[in-house]
Amino acid sequence: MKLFKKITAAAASVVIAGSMAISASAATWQEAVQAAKDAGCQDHNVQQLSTFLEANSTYFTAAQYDKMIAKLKEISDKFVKPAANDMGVTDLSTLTEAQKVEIGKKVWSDENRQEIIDALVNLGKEFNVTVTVTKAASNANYAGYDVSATINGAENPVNPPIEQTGTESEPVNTVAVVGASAAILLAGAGIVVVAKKNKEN
Amino acid sequence: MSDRASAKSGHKSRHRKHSESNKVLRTITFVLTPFLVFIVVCGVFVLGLFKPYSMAKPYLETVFNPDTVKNKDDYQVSIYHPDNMPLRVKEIEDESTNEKHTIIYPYYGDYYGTLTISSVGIKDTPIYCGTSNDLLAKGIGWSNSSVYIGRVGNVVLAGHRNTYFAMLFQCKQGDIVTVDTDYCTITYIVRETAIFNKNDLKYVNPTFGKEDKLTMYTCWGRNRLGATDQRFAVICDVVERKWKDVKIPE
Repeated sequence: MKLFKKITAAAASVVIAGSMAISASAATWQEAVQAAKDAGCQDHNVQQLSTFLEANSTYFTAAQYDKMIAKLKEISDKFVKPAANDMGVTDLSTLTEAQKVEIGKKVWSDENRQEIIDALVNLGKEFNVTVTVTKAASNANYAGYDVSATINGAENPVNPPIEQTGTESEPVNTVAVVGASAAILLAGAGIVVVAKKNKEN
Repeated sequence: MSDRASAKSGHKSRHRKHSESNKVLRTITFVLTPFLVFIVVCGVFVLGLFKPYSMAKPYLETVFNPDTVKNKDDYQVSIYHPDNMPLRVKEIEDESTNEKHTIIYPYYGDYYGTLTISSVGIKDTPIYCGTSNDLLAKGIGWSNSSVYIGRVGNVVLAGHRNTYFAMLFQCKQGDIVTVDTDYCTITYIVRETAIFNKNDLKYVNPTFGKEDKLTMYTCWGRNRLGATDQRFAVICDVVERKWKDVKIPE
């Protein structure tokens, strides 16, 4: 009986160890979201990722979630950690939203931002997800970028956390402004030239 | 004598030519100048009208573009995905009760549900998945920077102040708000209203399960339509969450 108990205990420990090993390498979408949080992403970006992954959770495999987590950590170690350390923050999950904004807007250069965008776009390519990141057409976009992920033909534009909810959401027609200004300048110059010629004669 | 005569006639012909060119120039001036002045005036007029036009545009659209206020019950084929997309149905655990329920995840651009705030006259107003301009023209938009309706967290809805959220300003503490989807019906009670800057994410940020609420917002602009820097928000607490038996089609 004692021996049986010992065998059962040994078997149980093997099973537990085995399942721990599996869970260490088989991540879930929730873990990917947590990784984004730990990487110092802004709260609304974490929520955007969560919303996207929750609905598409079965599209990705555990190995792909692992890859996502690794990439997030890599980006964080390279771009967020040094900036946070300079601010005296060692635990990235304790970064305030204001500090995150400061890192993104003031610390990173345009090249840094492009490198991060490229890394995420390339990560998407590996999973057959077309990620497009373009400079925001409207200055109302909080992030400054328009982001969209297309998965199985379904487009998922990531909307800014606060939208323009007035009805006038189109930008001012710059063509008309430039056209009107050019017309004034040219016509004004024409009047001056004609007046000068008139005076000479 | 003949020299003097020829010089005189040369001078006369030069004078005639000169006065002829003057005449042409004067004619051109008379014809051209009014046009040039007209162009200047028109240019100034166009530039001067930009601001009043941008302010008047929402009113003009409301009056002359019925598309922005109709089709309350439209189920249109989405421009964001092909028609034959599979239904995204999943069993989830309700974090507030630990019970298992079925949720249907909408695709971007899909009709998502309806919003009712009877006290201010908002009744069965359609909610769409996403907050792009085309969706806000058809109804209220659910922000994909927030949790899915039914999940514990901050559900954020946005709408235009001249159409679907025109009456939102009349919401007051204690009003009952109902959000109905294909998989659940949630009843909220208005806790507070607030005015905040468009760059202040305090009210729309996720709560990560710490707070269970609904935030609805629209533009706030001192009695005028159009894009503004301020937003008016109505924040509500959950009263009841009723899950439906979802029948999954074969």
